[in-house]
Amino acid sequence: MTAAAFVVLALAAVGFGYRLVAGPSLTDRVVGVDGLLVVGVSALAVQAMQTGEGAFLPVAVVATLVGFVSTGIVARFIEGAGQ
Amino acid sequence: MTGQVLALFGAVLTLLAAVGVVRFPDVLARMHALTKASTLGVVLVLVGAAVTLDNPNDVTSLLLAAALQVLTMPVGANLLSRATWRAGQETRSGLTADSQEGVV
Repeated sequence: MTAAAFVVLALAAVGFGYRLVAGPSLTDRVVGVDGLLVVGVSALAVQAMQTGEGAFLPVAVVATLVGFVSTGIVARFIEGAGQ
Repeated sequence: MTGQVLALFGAVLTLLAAVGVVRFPDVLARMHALTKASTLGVVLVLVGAAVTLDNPNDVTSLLLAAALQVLTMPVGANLLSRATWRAGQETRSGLTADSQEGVV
């Protein structure tokens, strides 16, 4: 069942990667990066569940915080670029 | 077993968010699809892993990551959508009324 979760997450990563590459605006690319980050955090959790060993789980916490800070910074950048 | 079912359901929700991000016609609609579906998806995956694992360190990390996702995803989406609305004119092309005029 964890293998099925990995396959589904890989399909989701393909969709987010398409939006990251082809997105017409900068906001679309930020949405793509955010989605890839969500997929990465989920994949870390599924990997910990598969192996039964959670040595990489603090990386999920740090990735969440870094994703939020980077989204805020790019939002400030977009707001400044429109004026 | 319960945790694995939860994780698979969360992964399917993330895939639905990806489908919305690929197919929706508008920037704000795509952001809405990502934020709503994938917040619940990643929380389900993390809670499923927390149910499966039994080391207290791992469970604490997973629950902290889930709480941070719930707290930061709506705030980040609000920041980004407000900046996009202020900066761009193209997101208003399909709309007939601007209820945020003078507010945002």
